[in-house]
Amino acid sequence: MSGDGPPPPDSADGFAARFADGRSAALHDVRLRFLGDGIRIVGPDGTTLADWPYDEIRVVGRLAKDKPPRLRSLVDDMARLEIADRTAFAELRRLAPRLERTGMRDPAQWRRAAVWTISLGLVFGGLWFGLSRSAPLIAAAMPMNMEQQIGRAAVEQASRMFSGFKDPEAIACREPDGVAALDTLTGRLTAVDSSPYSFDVRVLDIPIPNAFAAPGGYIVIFDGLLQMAETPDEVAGVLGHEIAHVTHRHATTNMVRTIGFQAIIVPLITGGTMASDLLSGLGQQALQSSYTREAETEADLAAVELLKAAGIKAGSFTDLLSRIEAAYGSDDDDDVPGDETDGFEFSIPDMLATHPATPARARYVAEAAGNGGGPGLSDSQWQALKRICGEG
Amino acid sequence: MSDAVLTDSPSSSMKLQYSGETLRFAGIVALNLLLQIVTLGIFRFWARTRERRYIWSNVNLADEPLEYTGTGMELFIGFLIVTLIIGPLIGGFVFAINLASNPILVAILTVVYLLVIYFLVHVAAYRARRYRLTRTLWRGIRGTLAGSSVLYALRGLGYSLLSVVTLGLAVPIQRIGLTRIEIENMYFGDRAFSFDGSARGLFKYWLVPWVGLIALAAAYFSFLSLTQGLNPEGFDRTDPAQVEQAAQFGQNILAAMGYLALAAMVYGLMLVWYRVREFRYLSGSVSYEGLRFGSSLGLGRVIWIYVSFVLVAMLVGAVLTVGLGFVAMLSAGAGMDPAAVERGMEAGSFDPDGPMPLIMGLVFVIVMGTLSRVMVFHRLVHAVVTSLSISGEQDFAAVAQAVDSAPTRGEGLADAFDLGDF
Repeated sequence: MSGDGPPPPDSADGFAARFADGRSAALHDVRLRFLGDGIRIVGPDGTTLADWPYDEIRVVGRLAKDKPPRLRSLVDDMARLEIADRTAFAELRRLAPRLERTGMRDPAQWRRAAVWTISLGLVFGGLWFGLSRSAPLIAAAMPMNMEQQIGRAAVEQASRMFSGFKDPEAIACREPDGVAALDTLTGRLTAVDSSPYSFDVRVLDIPIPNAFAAPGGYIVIFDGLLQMAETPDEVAGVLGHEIAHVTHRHATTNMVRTIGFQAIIVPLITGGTMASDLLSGLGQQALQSSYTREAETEADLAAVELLKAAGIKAGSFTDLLSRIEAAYGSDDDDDVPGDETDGFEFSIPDMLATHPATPARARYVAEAAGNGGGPGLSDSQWQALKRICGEG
Repeated sequence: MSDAVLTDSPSSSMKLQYSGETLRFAGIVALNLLLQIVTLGIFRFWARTRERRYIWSNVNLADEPLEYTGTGMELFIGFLIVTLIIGPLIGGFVFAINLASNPILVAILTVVYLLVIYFLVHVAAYRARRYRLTRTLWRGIRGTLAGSSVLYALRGLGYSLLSVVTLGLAVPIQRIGLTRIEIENMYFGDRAFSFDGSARGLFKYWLVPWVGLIALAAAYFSFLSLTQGLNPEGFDRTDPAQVEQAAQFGQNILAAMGYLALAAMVYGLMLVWYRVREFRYLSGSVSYEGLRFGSSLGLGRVIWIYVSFVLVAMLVGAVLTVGLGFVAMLSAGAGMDPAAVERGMEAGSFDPDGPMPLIMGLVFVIVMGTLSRVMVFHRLVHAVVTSLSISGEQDFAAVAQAVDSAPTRGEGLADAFDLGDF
């Protein structure tokens, strides 16, 4: 150490310091001289090792009380100067005002940071956009049997969840007259549907007023919904809505989007840190609410077209929604069981959720539906459908 | 053992010193965690840089500290570039595996996917090593890593295959082979490091956990076969002989489970012991010009680091849970809405829609995260650095700055695979 060297030097001879020139790993015991425009670093043999202008000297890292300051020069990137002498460093501090300036005060650094922040935005904006755009395409490219496979699993899972984990087969409603009526109603709608899907519509003996569609053509209506319906065309409207979800592949698209978001975008941004759950939750909500609204509106309007083409009164299913909403309240978004990852679309909670609001829906559905159209089923068929799960 | 022989002469032997302080490091880690959460993880590049700056600057060799010259921006840029390349690749695989319906196709895709990832992990580790070395300065001279990361990764795949085929017996060959590439391509200035370790030298250590694992597996399978004897269908509750037999059987199972847990702990100890021995052996096999490295890392110290962390973490976790619960009760009680208090009392918690759960979660995460980083990682750094010694003589004036070009971007790939512990 230089401290062990000769007694305190006078300023003409210079202060003791240690210097690595950045060219070799030798450590030189040097003298430091303060000149008019910079410091001169002088070797033991009196030769000048370096001249550093005051403006270009910077502290390495942060100054610490218990460690001698280490300095570098902007011109001589790798060279390091260590000054153990406090008087010398105080003098340097006086003469070199930019000593502790960090890189970020440099406008070029800020420009670079801005450019890269914008790039980051573009990359993730692009990923997000690409995912949103490619999700429907991937969903559309999915073979029918794959969708059906996913759909079967989803129906099984959702049925169990709503029924308190009963066997879906055991609670399927099979009164023959009711099944015949349901088939008639379904047949009238699918007859005018041009999609390649064939539909498997069933009623489960669950008292909740709900219905859902799963990928591949699976539609499940709960008995609770039938019991709250007053006319067959209300049920036909719900059925049309679910058929539209299937033919527009809403649940499938949603599933693709969710996988992409959770498996690609979230890990990339957060790097698997604990912020990932947070981002995952927030982003999922944002994704869900924007796309659900779109999908519901699309399914509503498609249902209206389907019913009109089948000659069924198209505008009345929003009456059923209003009735359910009046009975169950409207803003219970939190009660939507499961999430869309599982590949199904819960219609009634979605319909009842704040988006789109039921009165607004009723308005645009009524507008699109116009007047005309029959009930869809005869009185006796309707009574049979309501009793599909048996008496009581 | 090839522990470096320490001579008494200070000119020919020196120990590395570490002067990092627990509280200072804890401050860095806590602020890093907070900023990472606030920025949804993006701050991690700057966080890592802050940690490294602190650690490097506190490693002292011959009275001269190391210096880390990397920047968060470099790491961030590396990450962006890798995102563009790796993102679509992983994305494609994830979609294909999730959406494929044929189980054989899923299996093939999964295997290919894992192989690709395994390969890329090796590429990433090598490149990250190069980045760190080029950003490490001592006496104004930086390090570097020559060689090809792709070749390294290919060899890594080959060695791993060999290890799998030999049921783990060839692991020392893998470790020595890869370490040789890592060390012999490592430069300080314009001179390379050398490595003279051999798989044979490592093998005697590796045999211990290897035999331990075989014994553990055997114990586990014999335990499984023990449970095969259960026959609940034909059990007759009224037959005292059968009841007696069942009770005996239950006791046997309990005892077997106890032995199994004990065996697993012993195996864990064997692994830690092996890791310590391996580190000492590999360190002792490294030399640089006239200098020979050595490590005296102690098993007891490493075990104590983990054991004391577990004890303290349990204590702090319990105190935090109780303390935060108390704060929650107070905050619920201090609210203007008496219903909230009531609800909070009833549920044994408090208003779940308020900001309190978030804040308390944050406090918990930051305290526990800091605790583990400080008590395990930082203490391991301290133990490992101070265990290292260098003997021999070297004319450092003859070592010149390397003239190769250092990478201008940071370890992006390593970030993608979460290799950035250091």
